[in-house]
Amino acid sequence: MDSDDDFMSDASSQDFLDTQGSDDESLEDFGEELDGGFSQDKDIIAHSKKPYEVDFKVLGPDDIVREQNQQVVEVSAILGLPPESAAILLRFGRWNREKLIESYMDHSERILEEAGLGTTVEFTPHTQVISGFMCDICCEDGDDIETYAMRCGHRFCVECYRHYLSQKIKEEGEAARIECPAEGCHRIVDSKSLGLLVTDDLKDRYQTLLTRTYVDDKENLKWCPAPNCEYAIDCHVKQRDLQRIVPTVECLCKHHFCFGCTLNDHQPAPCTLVNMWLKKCEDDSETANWISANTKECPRCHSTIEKNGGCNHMTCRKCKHEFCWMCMGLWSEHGTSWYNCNRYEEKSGSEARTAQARSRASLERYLHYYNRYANHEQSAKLDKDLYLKTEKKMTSLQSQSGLSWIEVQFLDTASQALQQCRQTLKWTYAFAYYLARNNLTEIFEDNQKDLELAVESLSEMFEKPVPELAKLKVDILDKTAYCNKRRVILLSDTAENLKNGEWKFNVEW
Amino acid sequence: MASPQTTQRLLRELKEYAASPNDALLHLGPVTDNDLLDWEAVLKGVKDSPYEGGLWALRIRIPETYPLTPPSIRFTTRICHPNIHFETGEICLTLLTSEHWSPVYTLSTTLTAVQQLLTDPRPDSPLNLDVANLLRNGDVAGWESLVRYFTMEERWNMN
Repeated sequence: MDSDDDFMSDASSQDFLDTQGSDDESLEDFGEELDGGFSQDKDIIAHSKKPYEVDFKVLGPDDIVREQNQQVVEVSAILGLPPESAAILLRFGRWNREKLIESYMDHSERILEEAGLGTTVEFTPHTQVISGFMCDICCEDGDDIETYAMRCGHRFCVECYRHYLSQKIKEEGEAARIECPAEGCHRIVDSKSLGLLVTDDLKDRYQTLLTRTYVDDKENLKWCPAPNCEYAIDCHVKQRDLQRIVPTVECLCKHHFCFGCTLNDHQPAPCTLVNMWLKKCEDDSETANWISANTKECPRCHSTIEKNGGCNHMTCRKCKHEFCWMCMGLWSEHGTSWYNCNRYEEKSGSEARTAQARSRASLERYLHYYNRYANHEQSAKLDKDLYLKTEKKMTSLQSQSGLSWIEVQFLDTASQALQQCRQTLKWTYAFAYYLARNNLTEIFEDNQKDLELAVESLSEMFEKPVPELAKLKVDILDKTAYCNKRRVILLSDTAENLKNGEWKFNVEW
Repeated sequence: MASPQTTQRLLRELKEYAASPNDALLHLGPVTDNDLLDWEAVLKGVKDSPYEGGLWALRIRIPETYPLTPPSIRFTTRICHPNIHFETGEICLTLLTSEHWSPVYTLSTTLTAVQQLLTDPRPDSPLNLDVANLLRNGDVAGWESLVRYFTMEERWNMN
């Protein structure tokens, strides 16, 4: 299985940092745009990309299916295989086309075997009645039973096959790797066989699951985490780039989130720091305690795993990575080097102890940042409540002051700006907590202070009673523009320094 | 209550076991006549192995979706083995996970696989760390005598 690892590395990877470095924008440009560049029009984003912005594309459910099918058709044509087989191969190769085609050309039989497409009987599978047949699953015999076998030749009655598939699809949520029910047969059930055997609702579920694995498998695709959102984001920021960039994307459903970790927009703090910060903040929560006590993350795909029994030999359900629960090391290394995991306990124990001492010493410092972080989070919630009342406010403003609908839109813009700026401010405190002091942090803190002052004064104006609001319109508009501008400056500054590796941190990450 | 398919399949297995018993087993069948989803078995130790002469009782819970999903099997007699939990009797065998289970396996063939696990221990995936460490450190003599001791000490008997 040495080829398996090759599929994981991305041959077509291009370093986004290189392409990004070419557009050298000066800070003066930002003043021109009052909307802060958050217009939906991707062309505009492409023309005036800020240092903290990344290129991305939003894909709807149909786009995902189309993209998938297109690749299947292409590979099917290149390799001269039926589409359903090409689909299985692509899923096996985690949709890395070039790598797959190359290895298929080199040793096609081995790849077919490993992918669960072993070459055996040459016939087109269809359901048929065979006299003297007995099904090995239900033990039913009789001359009128409809049966089915894939190209591997293992024949079962259609009824059992159907139950088997529905168990796998409905109960186990499996789609891409459903194997033939026969003992020791690793042949994958293809979409054509599935189409012959199951009902339409199962087919839909199967398609959904396949689409899900497609997005999960591809490093450049991620689901939008908003509830009930069906869109996926296509972005070429790699996991290893996350040290240098905070890739915030905006879904068509308006949800802003980080492509790296799928949490809500947390600019300017990088994902790793955000993760550390959140863990730290949740330290005394019971849920967090339970999670840290009972679960670990898969070392390869970072899925959270709960060990609910069995031995320490873990196989990640999602990415099939095999590792040791104790030391989180590769399982394959255990085979020859015996069981060294007792050492791990000792080491982690001492690490945990020093970490605890350190955190106690810096408790006061932490509280300084935490209080400000929590304050902005709380204020953002309050502002959000106001935002919900905005519409009412706008209506009453229309009737009281005779302003038209279009003229009161400034309130909506202002409340959106408030939300966004508070979100940014909140994370500047988490970010600052991990920054080691130097000249850059002085500038950063000045930027932070400017934005904070602007936000607080806008927030104050926003709370004024309705009759005064009309008079404040120009002030609010100016303040909103100023807030957005300060935010762009702060984010650009932090993103530039992050990209160039200028920040010094007081933690290893 | 089990579905008609599951019932039919289990009755068939029972009949087949009566017709051609499994050498690995002393007994296999439902615990009572009322519940076809609750079985018990008595497993025999393999000749020429440290488990020779041993007898262990096992309890088998059959899910309503059997044979599409695997039965859950555990030792109720204590056994000294790297892949079997000494206290709970839990067995670490890939065959018994839903990912690796095939509906073509029967209870009888599954128990044969359990017997094979006795003579083919996997100390790299241990549930009983102490025993596994003996094997990993190459103390075969120590391991064998420990197994022999427990095999006789804990041996299942009719009463």
